Amino acid sequence: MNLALVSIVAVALAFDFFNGFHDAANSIATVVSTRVLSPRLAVAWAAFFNFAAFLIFGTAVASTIAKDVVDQRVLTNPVIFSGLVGAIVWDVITWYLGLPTSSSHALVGGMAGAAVGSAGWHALIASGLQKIAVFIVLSPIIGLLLGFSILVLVYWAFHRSRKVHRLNRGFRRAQLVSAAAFSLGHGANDAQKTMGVILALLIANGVVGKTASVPLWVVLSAHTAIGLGTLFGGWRIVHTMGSRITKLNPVAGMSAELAAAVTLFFTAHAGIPVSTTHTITGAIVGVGTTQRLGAVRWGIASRVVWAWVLTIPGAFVVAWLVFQPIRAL
Amino acid sequence: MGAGRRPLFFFALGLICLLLAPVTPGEFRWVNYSMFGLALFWTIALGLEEVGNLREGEGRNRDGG
Repeated sequence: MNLALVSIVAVALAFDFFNGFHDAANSIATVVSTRVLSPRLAVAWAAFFNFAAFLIFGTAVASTIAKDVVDQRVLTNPVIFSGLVGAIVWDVITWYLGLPTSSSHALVGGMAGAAVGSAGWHALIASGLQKIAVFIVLSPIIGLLLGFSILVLVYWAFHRSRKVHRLNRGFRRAQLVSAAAFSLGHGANDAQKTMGVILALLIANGVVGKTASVPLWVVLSAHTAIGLGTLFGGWRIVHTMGSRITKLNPVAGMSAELAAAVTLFFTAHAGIPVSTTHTITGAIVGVGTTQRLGAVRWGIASRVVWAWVLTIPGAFVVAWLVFQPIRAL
Repeated sequence: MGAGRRPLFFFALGLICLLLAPVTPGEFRWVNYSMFGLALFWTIALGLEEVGNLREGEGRNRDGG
């Protein structure tokens, strides 16, 4: 491997670390806001399951990122580098502003922006982008509907129980499992995006063939990077997600995480890169809706939606701008 | 938004899923339809709950009056 390739792999892993830093904090938002775990323990819990995800899930999402977003012939070292820088810059801006945007969509926007800067609009693969675009909208709705359904089912199953204290203790324990499940889904989905970028790099540099699957060292390093990123997590976003969208109790937190985990397991299996932020936000809104619509703080939820809408165009423009001077070199 | 608007909210969610079906890749279209079904189920269930609550309220008013 040449120096340029090694450097861009390092940037990709840095992006993964930032993804953990920026996005993975969502894994622990509910478990912290319900006080089931202290922030420190929750971070360690999430980081461990982010890493462990590689044992369970395949690499379908990585394959989508590497082969279905941008024409492989356009993916050169400068394009991938610019795409990554665009995504990282966008992530840092939104992290600074405390907005829970999606690193995944920042990556897709960044890669698309750099590719268009290099070869024009025809460099984009419409079918792959269409799949991602549809699930930008669908994933929070699935999370919302499942979160609402799970919580109503749990209420219905236990509404006759008079041992409220014992039940609450049980749900607090169950939330450890649901938080672990969500972190597994998050690790599977988000670490794979970096794997996809590194796979594209390796293909572009002829290190592996065009039909190759993701090498094990790429899988392990991507999961390590996202796990470490989570460990150093971003508390501003935890605060927004966990306590400002709606108030949560242990049973609601468990339901939200379980709903988001089911959604992420499905998308990881199907090879659809979705935002874990979108999904958990939808699920939190879903459990809030079981009380009444007024229980959800729609002002904050809509601010989050605006951040989503701006992410792909924002990262696209930054990556396009980064690519221009590199092309001139 | 009050509790009475929940059926409409869920119906709107279901409608979004249904409207997205034509642009969803064929292999994933079942997701749109199943989410539409789930949203429709909650629309009806919450709607019936609303009607029940209204009748209960009217009955209580009549008894009180």
